[in-house]
Amino acid sequence: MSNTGQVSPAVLAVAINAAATVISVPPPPPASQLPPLAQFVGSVVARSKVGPNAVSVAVAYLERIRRTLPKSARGLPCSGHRLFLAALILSAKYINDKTYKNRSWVSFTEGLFPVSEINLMERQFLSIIDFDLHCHEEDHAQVMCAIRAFDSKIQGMMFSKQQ
Amino acid sequence: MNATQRLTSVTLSVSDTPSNFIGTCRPVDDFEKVGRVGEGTYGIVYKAIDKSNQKTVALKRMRMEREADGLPLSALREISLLRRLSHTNIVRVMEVCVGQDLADFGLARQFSVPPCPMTPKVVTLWYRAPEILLGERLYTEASDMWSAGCIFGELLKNAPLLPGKVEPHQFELIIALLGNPTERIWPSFRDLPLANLFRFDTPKMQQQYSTIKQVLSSSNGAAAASPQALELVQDLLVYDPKRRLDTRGALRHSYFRREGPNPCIPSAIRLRFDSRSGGGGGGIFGGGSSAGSGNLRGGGAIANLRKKLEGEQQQGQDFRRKIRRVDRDEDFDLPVGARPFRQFDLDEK
Repeated sequence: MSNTGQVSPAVLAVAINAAATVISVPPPPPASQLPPLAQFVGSVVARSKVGPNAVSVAVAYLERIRRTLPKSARGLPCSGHRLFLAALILSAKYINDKTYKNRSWVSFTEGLFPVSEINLMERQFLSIIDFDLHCHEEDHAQVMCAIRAFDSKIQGMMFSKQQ
Repeated sequence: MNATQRLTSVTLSVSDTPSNFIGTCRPVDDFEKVGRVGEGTYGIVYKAIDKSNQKTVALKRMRMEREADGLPLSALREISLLRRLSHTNIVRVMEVCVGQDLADFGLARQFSVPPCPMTPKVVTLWYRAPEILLGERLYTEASDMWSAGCIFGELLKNAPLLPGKVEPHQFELIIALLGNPTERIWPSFRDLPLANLFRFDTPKMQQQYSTIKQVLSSSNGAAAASPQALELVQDLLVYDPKRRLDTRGALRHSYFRREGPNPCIPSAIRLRFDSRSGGGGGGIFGGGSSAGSGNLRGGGAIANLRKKLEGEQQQGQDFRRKIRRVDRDEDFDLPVGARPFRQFDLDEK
């Protein structure tokens, strides 16, 4: 695996799934500007060009957080967006040697969050995962397994379409 | 860090932070700075007292270029790695606190297999290995061994060994110390990405012999390096990273094996931490030392230490002593020079 390169549909699907399940959130109010989570994840990943490795490590962080959060934890409509963004910023800094300053992430989110909020998210996220940015082997295996599963699902869909 | 007041923990802090920071972070005001221990590329380290329990800690203030940039990558990696490491010789990160914050881990990066290219803009210039200077992006742990050689040499010389001002000057100093690299001693070094930026054909870059023996024989009041110590520096400062001494080789080195005193845990050596005076007999880093900050830097510390230990041995003192291992909460009796730990686990893997 390389640090750069295309993020496959399966990796993206796993990332969207992780962001959507990390904490249960209420639906956004009707007039909300909040983009759908899937669209947000896809757009941030595409714009930031952090590569598949950073995305899968971000998923591993989210899985770790999902396990530690109490079942009763409820977020805001934007909590999934925030957790995914913070996970990706940190995994990119941990994995890649060339990384963005936090201001760049403002534009990757199309101005959804100001830099002050992004900085705060970053620190809060670190606090939740206890400053341990290592992608533990089991977590990594689990993420890779999920990616493979999605991959064969997607392949299967393409195959049945061809038929 | 010394044995008696061993700093077993490090507290890292990040600059002023909004008060709604969740988690267990304490304000940095909970610590009282008592002195400055050192300064690295990535931050300043202070000796500090935790006001809540009067414990001594190391407090590292991380450099933040700009608040808007977020936490620097180097700091994140440093904290994350220290969090996972557990060894008596490596500081333990106790907590990360807010407000303002050692173990030098600026380069901390976990290995990847197969190796992937890394940034060559690393390491304080003085300790930067020649392959990194020449732009090698697939550098290895051998680069750290070079740095170790520079620091060991610095301890012996009582002054920085290769204090380059800019990259070309750094290389000139290396060449002045070791002689210029050749295809024979370092095959294909000219193929490295930045090799053509250095003018190896200029007179300054041409030096046939190594001067390391003269440089470390005696300077600045430091005692001459012992033959094995000199050899260890030479084996660490080898141009070709493939031929440089590795960690295992270094632990096996005759400096640690054949030349007394034998390695022992720091607490087995009676050291006194004296940060101000160099008063006679006042601490091993005192006499003849200019080590104002009380760190290991000055004074030909190793030579002094050896002299002191030998002196004690000659006087036939009983230097068995009660040692308290704070980390395990146990007392035991230990002679200086004893190896309370298993000899380096060389053959484990």
